[in-house]
Amino acid sequence: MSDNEKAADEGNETITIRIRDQTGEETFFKIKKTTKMQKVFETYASRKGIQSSSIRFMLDGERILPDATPKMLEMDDQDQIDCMLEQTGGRSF
Amino acid sequence: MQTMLFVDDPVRGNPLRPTADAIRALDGEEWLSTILIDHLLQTTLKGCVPDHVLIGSSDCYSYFSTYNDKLDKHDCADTVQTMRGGLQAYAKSEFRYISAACHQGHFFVVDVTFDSRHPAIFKQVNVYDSLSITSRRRATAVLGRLQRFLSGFCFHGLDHNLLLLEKQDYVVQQAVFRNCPKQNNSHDCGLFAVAIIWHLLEGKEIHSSVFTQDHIGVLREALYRGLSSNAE
Repeated sequence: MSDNEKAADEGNETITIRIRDQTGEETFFKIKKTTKMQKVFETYASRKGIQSSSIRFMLDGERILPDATPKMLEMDDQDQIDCMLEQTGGRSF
Repeated sequence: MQTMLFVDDPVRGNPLRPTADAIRALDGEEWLSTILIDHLLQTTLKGCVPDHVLIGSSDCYSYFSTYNDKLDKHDCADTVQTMRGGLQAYAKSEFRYISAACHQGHFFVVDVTFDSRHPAIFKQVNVYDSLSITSRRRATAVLGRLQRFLSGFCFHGLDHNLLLLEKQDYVVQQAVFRNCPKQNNSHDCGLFAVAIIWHLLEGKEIHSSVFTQDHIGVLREALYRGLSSNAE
């Protein structure tokens, strides 16, 4: 296998990742290692009926940038992403 | 070992982009979102915060809760190990941790100076709450979670962690509720918290008239004009 074929093969490799919300509910995504996380975030948010920019996605304590890919993040199969939905505050008396 | 950002420090972290709806909340009497508050801290404080001061995300209660839960889960052992490796750098010297914590629909400021070389670990734990009737319970929830996060990650395995493990309300006991300006409405606590953080970082003493509700009203309008014109 040439280097180019190896690179193409690596790009096609798929993994399953889990997004876990604050209630503990998990949503599974099967994606390529070269897919931008933005695509996952938007799909997740639209399923939940919210805007992706109102959620923070975290991997091992670090916030994930939308342009990152699983390959860049060194993610493995079944890795878990935590998500935090923004809250609002003002406080009524 | 790479140092990890302490609870998604907005000043040192990646850019946060509030939604148009979140910005529009400034135009009127809406409650503000945690991402908007962190965005305000990010844009106004970037490059002006000393190295030993950490600004925590206003969603810190959610973060502490999520990561503390991982401490008890067998399938999260790798995550916990990775985070400990990155966060333990914070236990080696004196740090001040300030956040506009949001919990149960209210923003208030938590200002903690901790130092592993100090016999009590903490030099001071201050809470600034803009409500006339402060809720000790709400601050207690955040500080209790902070304590477990510190003992489970940053101070894990170190001798003085025993203090944190033995007394579950150790941080809460040291908390002092400081006098500060009070809001006279039901929607400005987020901006009071941001203004208190600005004053703390300028080294000013916080008292009840260091700024007023009128200042916050002007600030709200100015921020709305600035953010909405940038978003266009």
